[in-house]
Amino acid sequence: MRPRKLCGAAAAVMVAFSLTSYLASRDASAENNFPQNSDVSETAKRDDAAAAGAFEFLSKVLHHPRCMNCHSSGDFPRQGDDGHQHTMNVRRGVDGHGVAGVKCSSCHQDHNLTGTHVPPGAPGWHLPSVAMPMIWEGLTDRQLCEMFKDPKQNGGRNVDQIVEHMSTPLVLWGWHPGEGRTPIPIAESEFLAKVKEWASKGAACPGNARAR
Amino acid sequence: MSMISLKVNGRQHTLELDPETPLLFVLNDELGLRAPKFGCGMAQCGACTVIVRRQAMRSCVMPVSAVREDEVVTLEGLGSAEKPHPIQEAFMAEGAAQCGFCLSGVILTAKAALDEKPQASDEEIREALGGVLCRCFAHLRMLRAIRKYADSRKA
Repeated sequence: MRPRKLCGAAAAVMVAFSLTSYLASRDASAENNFPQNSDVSETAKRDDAAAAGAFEFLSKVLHHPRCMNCHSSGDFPRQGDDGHQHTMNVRRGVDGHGVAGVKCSSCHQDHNLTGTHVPPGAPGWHLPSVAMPMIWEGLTDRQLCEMFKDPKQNGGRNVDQIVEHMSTPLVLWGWHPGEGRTPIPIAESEFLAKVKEWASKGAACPGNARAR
Repeated sequence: MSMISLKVNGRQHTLELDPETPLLFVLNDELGLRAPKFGCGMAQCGACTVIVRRQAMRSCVMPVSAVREDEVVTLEGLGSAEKPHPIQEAFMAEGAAQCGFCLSGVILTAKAALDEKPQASDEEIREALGGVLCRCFAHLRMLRAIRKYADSRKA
């Protein structure tokens, strides 16, 4: 009997250990999506409060019209600081690059043109796709943060890839929008530093609050 | 200034140009192609539309260097007076023009849309033409002509 009991106890310990390990790993990947094996994570110390604070800062930037005009509700881009619907009935299209006959690249070049009232441009000008529209109009900071980290909603990106995406010319166009458009008023370098801070400190999300 | 190689309607050209020169100016002034029109100069009206990489493009805001190695097709490249393209025939059959200033943009936009989506619905054709302005209100005849062409492709 004794050996049997010992065996049962060992099995129970092993099951408990496995379950604990599984839950710990699930916590890390599902809730925090903490970057692994990367430059960002290797030097980082997890600090949920600092990460959440950094995201709140990012959220202010992400709600600027230069960002919102491609991340608002509806299957169309928006224009101007008032976010009015893009003229000419321009549509998102399945891949986010427009519909047959009217692509984003029909008018938008890979750089801004000289003068006012001409189409702005950056490499790869497009909206998010229908499958992952990345609409964050009306979301709280926490909801937006969770959307950012969810590969099913963010284009299959992990946190490192989000950091990378945030420094692409299309995103940074918000600071260089061309004549006649209001640039994002926060320094680009400060924004990029906060993106890295958020990721390196564990990419935690802020608590619930009102939508911006 | 740079030497720019440009293929237009099947013909290769080499021109000394500022790479930022709008493609429209090159087509109109250097190559004498008058179908693409200068309307607004800001990609707002569609009169300057040409086809590049199978897409309708606003040549008034497209730097000539952005064409790269690809071919530019203007209305002159679709067909001739003697042998018009089927979409041009459909427009003639429906009398789908009034002053004709927008016509090049309308025809090329419709062709690009139907090349990409041959089964396009009337609504999708209207969406495609949303950025090509016609001040003569010939829209209904144009839409009939485009539908006639689309149906003839199916047959």
